[in-house]
Amino acid sequence: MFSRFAGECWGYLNGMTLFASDRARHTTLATAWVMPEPSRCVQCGVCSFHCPMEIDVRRHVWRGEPVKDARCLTCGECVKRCPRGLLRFEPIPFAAPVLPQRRVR
Amino acid sequence: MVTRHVLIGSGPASIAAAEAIRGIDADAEIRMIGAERAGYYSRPGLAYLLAKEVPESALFPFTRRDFDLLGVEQIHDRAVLIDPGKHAVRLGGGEALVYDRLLIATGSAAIPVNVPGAEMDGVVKLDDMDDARDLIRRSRAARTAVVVGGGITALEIVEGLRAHRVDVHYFIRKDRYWSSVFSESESRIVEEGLRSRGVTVHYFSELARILGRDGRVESVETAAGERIPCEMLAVAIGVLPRAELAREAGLACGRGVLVDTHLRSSDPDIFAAGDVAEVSDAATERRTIEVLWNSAAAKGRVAGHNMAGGPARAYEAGVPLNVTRLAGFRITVMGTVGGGGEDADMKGIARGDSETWRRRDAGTTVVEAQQGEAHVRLALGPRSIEGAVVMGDQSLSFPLQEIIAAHVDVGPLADELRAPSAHLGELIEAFWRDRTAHHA
Repeated sequence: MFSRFAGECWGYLNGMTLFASDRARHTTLATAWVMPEPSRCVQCGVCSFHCPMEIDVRRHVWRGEPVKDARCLTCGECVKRCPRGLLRFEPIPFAAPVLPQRRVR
Repeated sequence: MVTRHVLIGSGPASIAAAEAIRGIDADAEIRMIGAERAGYYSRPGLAYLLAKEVPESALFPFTRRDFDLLGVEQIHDRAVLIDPGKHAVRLGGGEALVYDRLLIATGSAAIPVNVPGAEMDGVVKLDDMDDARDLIRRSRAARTAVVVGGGITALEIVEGLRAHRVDVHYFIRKDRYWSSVFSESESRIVEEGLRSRGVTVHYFSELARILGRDGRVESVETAAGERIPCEMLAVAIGVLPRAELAREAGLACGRGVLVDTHLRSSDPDIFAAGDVAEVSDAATERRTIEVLWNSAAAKGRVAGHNMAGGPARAYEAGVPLNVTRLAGFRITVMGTVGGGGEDADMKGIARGDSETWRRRDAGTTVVEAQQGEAHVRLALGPRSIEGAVVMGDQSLSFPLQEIIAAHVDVGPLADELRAPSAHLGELIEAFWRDRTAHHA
């Protein structure tokens, strides 16, 4: 769902860098995860290809779920690279479990 | 008794159907017939492969292990005949597969260009992975290419060719690009973007014939007699549903396979989904074809669910949406936006295209404005937003998507948006902030 928080994070994308400051990045790391808008996804795989942690972001999108993978650095590579702009940072709901997930290969 | 499901096609509709079937029936036999050697890959992702943004290997969302886990047997062959009486599908290799439920998800195919010389080597299209590989191979050697057609595919080819440093001449038959969906200023933004990327845009240019030597393209000639030397001619004038199998099997067909909202064809054991399905809505009497990835998957899910005998579920077309990138601009098109023009560059429907976009209901008014980094156009009903095109910065497209899809009663906002010099972006953002705050 579109929230003001997402709007602000999204706002950062319009600048030269994804995060306006280290502080913004650390806040995002602690409180947000990458949330897809699955209806916009065509499974091109640009997100998974660019993930430095080799998380299969595309698979999360297909399932319509956030990238709830403990390895996610919230570096924003996938958010920035998605050609259709369907990934955004969203606040993690309080006490949501963040479970490590193995990449299926 | 184990239910035998046969799925013809290996695109998103088939995959989604297989998942839906498996979700209901752990024991069902699921066999997927795919004519393409590449199997399941992201067809829209071919644009990014052509543009050198991803390697081919990144385009495959499923591994062999995924198919095993899903319990789907993949069969690389072509279905050549459906025999509804015997409940069997015959394959090119001669084998016959017996089904209890059949899904036809054969997709669509590019319409070939009908001018003298069309059979020559160097006339190319972008339907599938093999075409993309062919385009890339030829781009390495070609100096000049001519592209004819419209919609998204034509420009994907244009940009792919430019990424390979090929000089590109793009022919537009009339005065502007994609006039059935875009407004004049939207067309101009894209055309200007093309020129800034080094593309030569030709207006009022109609391909008349293709000239060559030893069966290879050397130039093309326009109806006005202009000749442009080139080694390649790329054609993207639209697609047709691949409905031949269904037609020959005696199923009711229009342009595609006619299905009801449960995606069932005229044969109760045969379903269709994806580009090939022409969904007939009894309530509105509208028959609609959509050539969209997410619609194909959504139809596949419904068809699979109904094939597996789940409580009857209807496909709700929802609001067609596509996000694309044309000439470097991110563009979202959703709902009924009708550009007002007759698109002479395309026959029928194209990839990434919905017939709904071309419609615009009587009684809607259109507002259009450049707002910062975004160009926004809205089709406004008395108390609703019926359609939108957002070019450039996509922030507004997310609330708009939800407002349009949920048919939100926007009340006085519609009038405020219609006011002269209204700031569309600020109004929509404020409306959405209030609404999400109240619904939080």
